Amino acid sequence: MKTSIQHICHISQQTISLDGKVVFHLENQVESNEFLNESYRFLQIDYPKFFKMDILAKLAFIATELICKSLIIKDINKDEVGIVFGNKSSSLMADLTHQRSIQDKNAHFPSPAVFVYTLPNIMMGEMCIRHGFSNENTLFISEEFDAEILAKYTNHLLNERIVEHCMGGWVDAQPGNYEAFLYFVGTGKSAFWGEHTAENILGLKQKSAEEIAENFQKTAFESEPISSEY
Amino acid sequence: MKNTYVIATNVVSPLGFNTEDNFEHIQSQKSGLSFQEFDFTNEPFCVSKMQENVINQRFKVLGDFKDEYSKLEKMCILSVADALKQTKHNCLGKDSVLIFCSTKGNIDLLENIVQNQSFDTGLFLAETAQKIAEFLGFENKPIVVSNACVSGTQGILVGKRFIDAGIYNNVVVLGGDLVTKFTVSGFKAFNALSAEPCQPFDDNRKGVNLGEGAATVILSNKSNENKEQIIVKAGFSSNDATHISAPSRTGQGLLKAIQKISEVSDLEDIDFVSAHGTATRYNDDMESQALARADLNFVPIHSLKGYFGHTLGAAGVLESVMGIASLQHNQTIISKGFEVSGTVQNLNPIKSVEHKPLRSFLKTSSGFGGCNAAVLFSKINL
Repeated sequence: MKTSIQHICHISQQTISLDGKVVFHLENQVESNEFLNESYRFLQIDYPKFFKMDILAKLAFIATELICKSLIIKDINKDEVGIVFGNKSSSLMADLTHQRSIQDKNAHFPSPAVFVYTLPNIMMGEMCIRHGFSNENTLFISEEFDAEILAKYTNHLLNERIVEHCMGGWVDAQPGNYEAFLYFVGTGKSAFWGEHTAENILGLKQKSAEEIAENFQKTAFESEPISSEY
Repeated sequence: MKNTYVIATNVVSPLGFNTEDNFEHIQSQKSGLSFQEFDFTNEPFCVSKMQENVINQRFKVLGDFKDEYSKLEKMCILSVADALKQTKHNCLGKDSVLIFCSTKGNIDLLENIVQNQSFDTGLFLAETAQKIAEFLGFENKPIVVSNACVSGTQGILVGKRFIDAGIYNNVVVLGGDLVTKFTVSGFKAFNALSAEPCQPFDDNRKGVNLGEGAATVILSNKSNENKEQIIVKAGFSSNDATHISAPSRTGQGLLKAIQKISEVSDLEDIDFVSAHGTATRYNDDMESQALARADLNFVPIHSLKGYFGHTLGAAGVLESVMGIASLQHNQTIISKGFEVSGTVQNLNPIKSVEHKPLRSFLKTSSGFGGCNAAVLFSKINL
C-alpha cells in the first residue's frame, strides 16, 4: 500500500512554516517559551490549557493545530490517528525545572504541574486530548532525526491498518534551541508532498529548514519584521 | 503473519540477577521493597532499590571497567548479557537490534549538571543505549522507546512489529530505570506514593512504591530448540485522550487496546492478567473498569508491584518476563498486598500459588500522558 505525506509544518528559529509557506515569524529574539506564546496569540487559538504546557507540548500543539486546520479531508476518523515521533533530549527542559525545585533539600518545592511534563510522551497526550486521537503513541529517542526508523515503523502501522492516519515528526527542545517538524501521513498516492518514505521526509525536513534559515537571514538583513508588531 | 518467539529472558532486581532467581523469590513471597530515607523528608519510604556494591561484584566478572558505566548501565548490561547466553541465535548481527525502554535513564546525573552548570551527555537516552549496545557488541545502532510507564510493554510491541514487518529477525527488548530523588519527589508531589508496602487492588491501598530494575526479553522470528514455545501473539496500544496525569475514569483507552486484541485473537481462555496495578486509587479503579467492560474482570489477575515496586520504563518488560516464567513453570503468581476487594468493579486477584497448566496471559500497562498498551503472550507446542 502506498502511504503519502499530506501536510508538513516546521517550527524553528522563531519561524513557523506550514506546507512550505512562512505563517509566522518573530524578529526580536525572545525566549523559546515567549515565542511560542506569541505564536499562539497570533494564530488566534482558543485553548487556555496551552499556557500550562512545557516547551515540547507547546511545539507539538501549535504544529498539530496548523496541520489539522488545513486538512483537505475533513472526515478523518480521529480515533484511528496514531502518533509516531522522534526526539533527542527527552523532556530535558522540564527535567531541569523539576531538578531546580528539588536541588536544595532545604528549599524543596516540587510541583506536580511541572513533574508531569518530565515525560516526553506527554506532548502526544496533549495532542490526543485536543484532537481526540486515541490510537497508538510511540516516541523514539535518537541522537538525530532517524527518518529510517520513523518511516518504516509508521508505514507498518498504516499497512497493517493498525492506524488509519499518522502524525509523524521530530520535536526537540534544549536550552536556547528548539525544533518541531511534523507531517501528516495517510494512505493513497495522491498527496502534495509525495510518498511517505525515509528519503522524502528527510529531504523535506532539510529543505524546509533551509527555507526557514533563508527567511531568517533575509529578514535579519532587511530588518523588516513580518509580524513582530503583534 | 509468522510467529514472534520469546527465546530468552532476564530480570535484574533486588531479588536476583536472572529470571529463575527472581521467580523463585517471588513464589516464596519475598519482596524487594524496603524502607529508605530521603533527604527531603523525615518520613522513610518503601522503595525497591538495588545495592550498588552487589551490582559491581557481578559486573566485575565482565571485566575491569571502574567508573566507566553508571549504575543503570551496569544493570542493563548484566541483564542483556545473561539473556544472550541463553540462546544459540546470533542476536548481535545486522538482522538484530537492541530496543532500550526507559522513562528517565541516567536522570540521577541531572543533580550534578545543575550543581556544576556543565552538561553531561550521559543524560541522553540515545547515548546510554549506545554505550550498552557497544559493550555487548551489537552491530546495529540501538533504538530507544520512551513512553512513560508504558515504555516496556510498548517496546515489546515495537519489537514484535519490527519482526512482523521483516525489518529485523531478532529484537532484544531491554527495560531499565532507577529509583532517584528526581522520581520519588515528583510522585510524592502528586500524593501518589505509599510509605508502606503497596497493596494493589485492595480496599486499603494508599499508592505506589517505586522500584528499580532492568529486564530483557529476546524476540525472534525463529524458535529455539524447546518443544514448548512462548509467543507474542498480539498487542495494541491506545491513548485515553482525556487527561495527561489521571487515568480515564471509564477505562476507555485500556479497553480499546484490549478490544483490538480480541478482534484478532481469542481472549476468552486466557489464564491470567498481569495488570499494571500501581495501587493508586485511580489506576486500579480504571483497570477494573476496563477489564469489566471487556468481560475479563473474573479472570485471575496479579500486580507485581508488591515485589518489585513500580520500575517505570522497565515495568512492562520485567512483569512480562515474570508472566512468561509463570507460564513456563505452570504456577500462578500471588498478587502481593491484596486482602480485601476495593476496586470499583470486582476483580479476581490471585491469592495462592496454584500448580496447573497455564497457556496464555494478557499484560497491560498504563501511564502518564493517557497511554495504554496490552500484549497477549501464548504458549504453543511445536
